[in-house]
Amino acid sequence: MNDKTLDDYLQAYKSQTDHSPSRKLMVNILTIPCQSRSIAIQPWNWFDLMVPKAVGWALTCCLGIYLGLSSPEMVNNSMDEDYYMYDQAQIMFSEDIE
Amino acid sequence: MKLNRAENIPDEQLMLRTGEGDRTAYKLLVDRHLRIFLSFAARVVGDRAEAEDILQEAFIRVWKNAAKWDQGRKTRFTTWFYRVVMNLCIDVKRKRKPTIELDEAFEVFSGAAKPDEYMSDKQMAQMIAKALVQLPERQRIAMTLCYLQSLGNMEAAEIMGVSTGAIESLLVRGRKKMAEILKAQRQEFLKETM
Repeated sequence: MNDKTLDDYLQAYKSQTDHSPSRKLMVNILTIPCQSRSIAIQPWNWFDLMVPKAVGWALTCCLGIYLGLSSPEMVNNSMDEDYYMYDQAQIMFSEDIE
Repeated sequence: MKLNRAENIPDEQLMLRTGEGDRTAYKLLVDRHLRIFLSFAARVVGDRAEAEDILQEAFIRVWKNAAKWDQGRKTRFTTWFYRVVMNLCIDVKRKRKPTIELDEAFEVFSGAAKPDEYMSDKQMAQMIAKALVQLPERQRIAMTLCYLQSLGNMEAAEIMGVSTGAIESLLVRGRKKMAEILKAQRQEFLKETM
C-alpha cells in the first residue's frame, strides 16, 4: 500500500469519526460545577470529612488518659503515704529492739 | 464575562477565570474543546461510550485543577488537556481485557461489497479502525495526534513527553505497520468479494 492510499484511508477515518457530542454528554459536563458545589455544601460531606479527624482525636485522648492513669508518679494518694510511714516506723522500732 | 468577545479570549485566560469559579468561562472551554477531544478519545480507545466517560472525567479535572492553574508556566491549555485525556485513555485501555473491541459503527462491513477503488469512506474507516487497535499504544497515539488530530510533530512530542525525533520514528513505524495490516485486510476483503 502506498503513502497516498494510506492517507486516503486515514482521511476517510478522520471524517467518519468526527461526531458531535451527544446532548446528554454536554449536559453532564456542563453540570460538573453545580455537582461539585452541591457536594461541597452538603452537611453529610462535611460530616464524612470530619469523622476520621474525630476518631483520631478520640484515640489520642484515650491514649493520654491511659498513660496518665498508669504513670507511677501519678499514683500518689494519702493511703500510700500512710503505709510508707507505717513501714518506716516498723523498721525503726525493730532496729531499736535489736 | 461578556460573551461578545469571548472567542478572542485565550484558553489559558478562561482556565484562570474557571479557577475563580466563573462558570461561563468553563462553558466556553467545553464548547471549544469537547468535540475535538471526544473524537481524539474515541479514536484512541476505539469506543465512543468509553470516550464519553473519559471526557466527563477530563472535564471534572479541568474544574478541579483550574484554581491551581499557573499563568506563569509555558504549557498551553490544549497541550495539558491532551495529556489529561491521553492518560485517561491509556488507563482505560490497560484496564480493559486485551481483546479487539470496536465501536459498533466499525464492527461489520455494511452494504454491498465493492472492489478496492470503489470502497466507501465508511468501509475504509472500518479498516483503519481495525488496524489502529492492532498498533502498539505509543504508535497509535502518535498517529492519532499527527494524522487524525492534525497536530504538528512538535506539539505531539510535547504532549507525549518525547523528542520530536522519537515522534517521527513512531510515525514511520506506525505507518509501516498500518500499511501491512491494511494490505492484509484488503486482500481478505477482495477475496470475500470476488
